[in-house]
Amino acid sequence: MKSKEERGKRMRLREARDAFLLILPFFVLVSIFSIYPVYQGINLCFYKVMLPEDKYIGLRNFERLRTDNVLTLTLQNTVYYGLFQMLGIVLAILPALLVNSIIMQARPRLRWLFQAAVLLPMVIGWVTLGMAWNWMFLIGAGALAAGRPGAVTVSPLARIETALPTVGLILIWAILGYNTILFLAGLRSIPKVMYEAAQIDGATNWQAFRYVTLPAMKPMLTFMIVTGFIGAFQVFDPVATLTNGGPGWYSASIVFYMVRQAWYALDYGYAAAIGLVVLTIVFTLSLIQFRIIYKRYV
Amino acid sequence: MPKSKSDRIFRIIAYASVAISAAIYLYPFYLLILISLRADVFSWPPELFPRNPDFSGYTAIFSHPAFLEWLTNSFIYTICISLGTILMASITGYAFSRLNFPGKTYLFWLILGLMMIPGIVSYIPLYVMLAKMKLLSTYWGIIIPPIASPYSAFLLKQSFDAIPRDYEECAYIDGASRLTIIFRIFLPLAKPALVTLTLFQFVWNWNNFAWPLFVATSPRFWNLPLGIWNLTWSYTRDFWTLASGGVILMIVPFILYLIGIEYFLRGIIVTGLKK
Repeated sequence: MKSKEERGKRMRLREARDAFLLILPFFVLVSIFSIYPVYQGINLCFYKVMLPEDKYIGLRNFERLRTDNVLTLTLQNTVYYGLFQMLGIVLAILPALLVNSIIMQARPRLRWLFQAAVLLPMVIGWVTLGMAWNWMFLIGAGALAAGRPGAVTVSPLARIETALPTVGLILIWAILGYNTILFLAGLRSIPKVMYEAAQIDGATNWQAFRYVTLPAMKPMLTFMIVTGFIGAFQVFDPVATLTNGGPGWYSASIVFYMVRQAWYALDYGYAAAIGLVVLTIVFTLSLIQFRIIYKRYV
Repeated sequence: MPKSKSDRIFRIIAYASVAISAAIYLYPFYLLILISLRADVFSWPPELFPRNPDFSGYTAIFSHPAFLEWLTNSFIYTICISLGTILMASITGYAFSRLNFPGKTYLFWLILGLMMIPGIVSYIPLYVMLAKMKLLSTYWGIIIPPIASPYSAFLLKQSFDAIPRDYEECAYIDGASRLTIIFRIFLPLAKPALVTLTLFQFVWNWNNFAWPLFVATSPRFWNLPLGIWNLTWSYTRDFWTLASGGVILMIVPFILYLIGIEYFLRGIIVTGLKK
């Protein structure tokens, strides 16, 4: 009896030992390259990074955050990008319904082509996308200007008033296919019985959409909205490849501004302070997202 | 029959909407290919099928002194980071899925917490750190830090959870070691999830240029996206040369996409994987 108990204990000890050996490499790397940098990042906010030794400057970086007009502008731009992401979600509902009722019934080949085309921006990198869209707009602007004497060929990506919305529209273009596919999966998971019941109750198409489809999609919608905003606070590649932040800072996102502070101004302390702002916002949004998922599954 | 008429309208709408969305999504890429072949896209109507394609852009980009270096780097980074990530995520995911050990819950919460840190924000302290360790512009400094990916470990743990326990218990009774169980039983059983994650990893790492932007301070260590991006903003090349670079850049993810589109769809629908 006792030996059996002891054997069980030895087995458990062996299991724990194996487990620790298996997770050790991961947690060593994560401690060095993820956890320590967060600590180090908070630390950097209080310094001016310079050679031979960093200089302690107290709260000066944070004071600068408060009065930095460019930071306000880029933060505002970032919120706009978040709103464009929202628009990308709302706009995806229509194609999803269309696809669900028409293209899904069509030939498999056609369906394949649709899905393959709309998801392409997901796998092609922003360097290529940025180049392609710059040409699209330049040629489009050229075609528009061609008929009118005196008109100048300026891409909307290079004009102060249009740079931000144009980047926003390209963001929508890039995400719309993804959102449509997600919605489609959501739509197809709604049991047909619910629509049959609605039909028997005499519901119109609109009522069926309003009282069956929408409530069933609500968890997915909230999830997508929050992830959309989290995504907006990490927008870097699209801005870097489409406009490089320009003209001026008119299309720059906050993360882009942070990278510029580190890269061109070589002010790592201030960049870290901006990073802390981003981190706080993303963390808060992530907690909200987590609560949503948690409520859904537990 | 009235049915056939509405059927026909349905089919026309289906074809039209697919054609329109395909055009909106494919044309930018096609335009890039046209420019790289030096087709006349500026005239109206634009030359949609290049009559005499000119490959001088491609020869020009290949003769750029650093191009082959960037291409090689891209392959090295993509393969090493992706495989390293999958390997580390598999053993970590297995331990969290199947083994009991003290502190497991807290460590799992830690992984979830780490998933919320936006990568690019931690690049700045990481850059300062790697600079002090003299690891900037080295293969180690570029490849090792991204390998421990909490997100991938979490995803594999989830898919391992769905595998019934019977299989491994037989193997365990037969005296198989943990590593044998992971690599001989778990990974083959979790194949769909594994292939999905691997494809996404390849595409992500191939396209990634924010990370090399930070740690590859010397142009010799740039990857292809970073190199091409720098060429774009330096305005020193012909545009067909740049477009050729853009086309070469998209070939690899495009091929992976064509081969594994089912897996990409699965990744998006089942786990919400994103760009």
